[in-house]
Amino acid sequence: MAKIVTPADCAQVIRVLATALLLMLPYFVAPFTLTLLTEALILAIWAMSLDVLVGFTGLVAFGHAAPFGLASYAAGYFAREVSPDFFATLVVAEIVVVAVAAATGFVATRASGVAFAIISLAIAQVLFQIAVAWRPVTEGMDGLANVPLPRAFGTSFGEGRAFYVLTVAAFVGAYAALRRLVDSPFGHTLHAIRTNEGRAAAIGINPRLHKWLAFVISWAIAGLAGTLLVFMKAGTTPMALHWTESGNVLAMTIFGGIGTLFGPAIGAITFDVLRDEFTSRFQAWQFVFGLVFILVVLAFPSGIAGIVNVAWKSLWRSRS
Amino acid sequence: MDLNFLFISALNGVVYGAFLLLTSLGLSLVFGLGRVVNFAHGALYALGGYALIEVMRRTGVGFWPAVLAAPLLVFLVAMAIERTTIYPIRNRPEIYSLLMTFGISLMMIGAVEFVWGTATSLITVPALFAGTVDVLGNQYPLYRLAATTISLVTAGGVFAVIQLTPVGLRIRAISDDAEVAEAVGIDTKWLLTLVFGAAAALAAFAGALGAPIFAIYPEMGTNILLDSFLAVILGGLGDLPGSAIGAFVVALTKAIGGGYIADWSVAVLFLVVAAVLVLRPTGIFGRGRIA
Amino acid sequence: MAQPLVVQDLCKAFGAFRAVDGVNLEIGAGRVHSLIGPNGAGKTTTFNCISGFLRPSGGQVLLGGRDVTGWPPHRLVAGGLARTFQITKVFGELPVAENLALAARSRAGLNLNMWRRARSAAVADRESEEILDLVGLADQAALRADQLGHGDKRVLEVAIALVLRPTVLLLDEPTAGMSTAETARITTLVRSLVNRTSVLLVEHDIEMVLAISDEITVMTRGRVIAHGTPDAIVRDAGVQEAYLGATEASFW
Repeated sequence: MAKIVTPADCAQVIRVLATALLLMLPYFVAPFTLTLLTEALILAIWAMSLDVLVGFTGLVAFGHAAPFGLASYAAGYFAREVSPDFFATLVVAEIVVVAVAAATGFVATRASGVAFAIISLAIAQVLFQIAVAWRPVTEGMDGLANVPLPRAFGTSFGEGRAFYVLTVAAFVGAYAALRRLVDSPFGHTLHAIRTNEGRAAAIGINPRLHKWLAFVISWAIAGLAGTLLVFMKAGTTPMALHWTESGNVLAMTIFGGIGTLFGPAIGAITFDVLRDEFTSRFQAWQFVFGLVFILVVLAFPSGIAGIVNVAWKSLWRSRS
Repeated sequence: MDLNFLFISALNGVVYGAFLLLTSLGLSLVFGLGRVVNFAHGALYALGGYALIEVMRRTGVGFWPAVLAAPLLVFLVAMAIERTTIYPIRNRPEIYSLLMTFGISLMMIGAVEFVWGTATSLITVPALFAGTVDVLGNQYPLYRLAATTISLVTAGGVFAVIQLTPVGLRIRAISDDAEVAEAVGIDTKWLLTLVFGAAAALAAFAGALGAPIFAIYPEMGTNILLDSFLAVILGGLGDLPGSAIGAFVVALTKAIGGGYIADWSVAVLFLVVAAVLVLRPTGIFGRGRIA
Repeated sequence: MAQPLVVQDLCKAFGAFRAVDGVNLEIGAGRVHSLIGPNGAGKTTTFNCISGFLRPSGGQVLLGGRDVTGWPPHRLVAGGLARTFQITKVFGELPVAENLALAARSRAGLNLNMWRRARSAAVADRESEEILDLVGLADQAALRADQLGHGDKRVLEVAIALVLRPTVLLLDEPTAGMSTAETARITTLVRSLVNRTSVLLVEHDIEMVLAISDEITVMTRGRVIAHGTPDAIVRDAGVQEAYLGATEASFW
């Protein structure tokens, strides 16, 4: 008896194929493209973490550069001063990020809408100021430099290909974990809070607790991305915490399509590739990007993922 | 404690405060009226400065005519922006206006960099107010005092219009309750466009007037944008007198704190504002709207 | 055995205005208790104070003997209290079945579970189906909640509350905006709940109230002016005056 192929099965096959493709890429592409892809995947992790807040909980964060830059600084400092062991560094960076997230999230999640957006921005600004002013540790505007290559499993991960594979593993892991999270009962409560917070409270969901958890989880995943980036770039600067960076990740996420996880991932990759293409040709990257962003907000609020979803649904409808 | 240093810092704070006042009033008006959070306000301020340069360069007029022409140009540009991008999303949640104006600010700053480059332009102080003046034993630039006075007078004019004119009455009505205002026959659509343009003109005027003091460069709007947000939140979104006071609180904190604890003063400011947003979302005076 | 719901000397003031001024209520197990009164009497405010959406200025709310005064809504749900809203509050974007499943999972204590697949929580499906059948919405389970007609949406509200298996169910103007047929449907539904839960309802439809209530409390201007069985209330002179007087005024 033939097994009926469901959309879910198909999606799973696509995921496996995509992962295989990603892993095989180093053998086909030039080293420079590989570096670009590595960066794109890191941004994808960062964007997915923002989607948890924006797409699933309904909290639009205007300061998501905060966990990203904070992790870069914590990881970079630890790697340089103590040990470049990747996993040790990651743990330390995550401890810092989660601690700050827990404290600031407690305040931030008491607000919503525009107020939350501004508080989120304020947090990033404070961290930015600290990065600039706390020269003994952060070295001010010059930023941290000379962060060594990460070490894991006894070897150094300097070579492009090895670090790329590490990043792919992180990306796949982050995606799988977040997918699990949003499909879980907890994930559904976030959606409920986003749809109608009063109703959610009236069925026994504790909105503030859940929003706080979503905030901390979102920061933790962003922390993974920040740790990877500081190793990739062998350093970081306060600009990583600048509000334009927060704007970039928000734009990528919205452009990709909030509430889908894969949307922001694609949005981030597209953004990075386009940015690379454009800045080498156009001076007006910011102008074009702003224009595209406006068009997406105006006409395609569901982003790329929205278009994909429509196509996907019509495909399955025509089959049945 | 060097009293003189403190005095000069405070004076600088007042000067900055006068300009921040103009941008904050505009931001607060637009929010109170249309529930629009205008992230492009800083870019409009910058545009005022660049319009000043262009007008002076192309037409050869002096500083003063240009300082009046620049806001007018930005007024028209802003109205066009409102009609094409903000009006279409007026029924969506407020966060969309923040996103939309963020995109607009990216476009505007990108355009500015593209057309004028990223270098800083310095504008010489107009002859009328050149030189320094003796203030309690210090030589203080006369232009700063003059520009401050002009800004304060302009702000006063804005308050007068809001409180005393029929237009101002309509604005206050809509700020209070947009639905009722429409039911009573006030054409909210065009008034919103007009006020958006006027707020932009105020910001542009500040940018142009302040050019001899603060210089002109693409990112000049960023700091004043964030400071304006802080001021308006402190005072209460939509509460004009509150925003005015908020502007001076922010400016003086930055100026005086900046002299003593340098970069940390901004951090402190942000923390205070975050606290206000959480504990008293209607602003310190409790008369504003909840963000 | 403690009464399911006891309200003692409940007060709520907004500045100088006392919206609720010393209200006392007691609801027995399996009873239907109605709260009526002219507009502005403070009924919904009382409701909001009991259900955690407003913090009382004074007085006590006891749920099954426990003092739950000032508890937030989600905590009250765990304590056995559920409510519906005067202005329909459902999860519009989500399918009807998911609206109920959310409540069922919440009741099963799964809210913080981050690793199971929500869809596979069979307990949620079983309970939801049962309630859907009870309220007559089984055919519309897959529709988005905001695609339902007004009457069906109000029924969905009740269904969501029922999935929570409350000991006390608060219904806030359940028949608001409904036709006679729909009202009859709700009336039958509320009558059938007698074995499951105690009901406190706020209503303007006097006929319906008289038909289904075991007890009625009448409020005006923040105070209770009468309390008793439907027969007693109908004959009460004070109630007649309050209502006749009030209905004339509110008519204009």
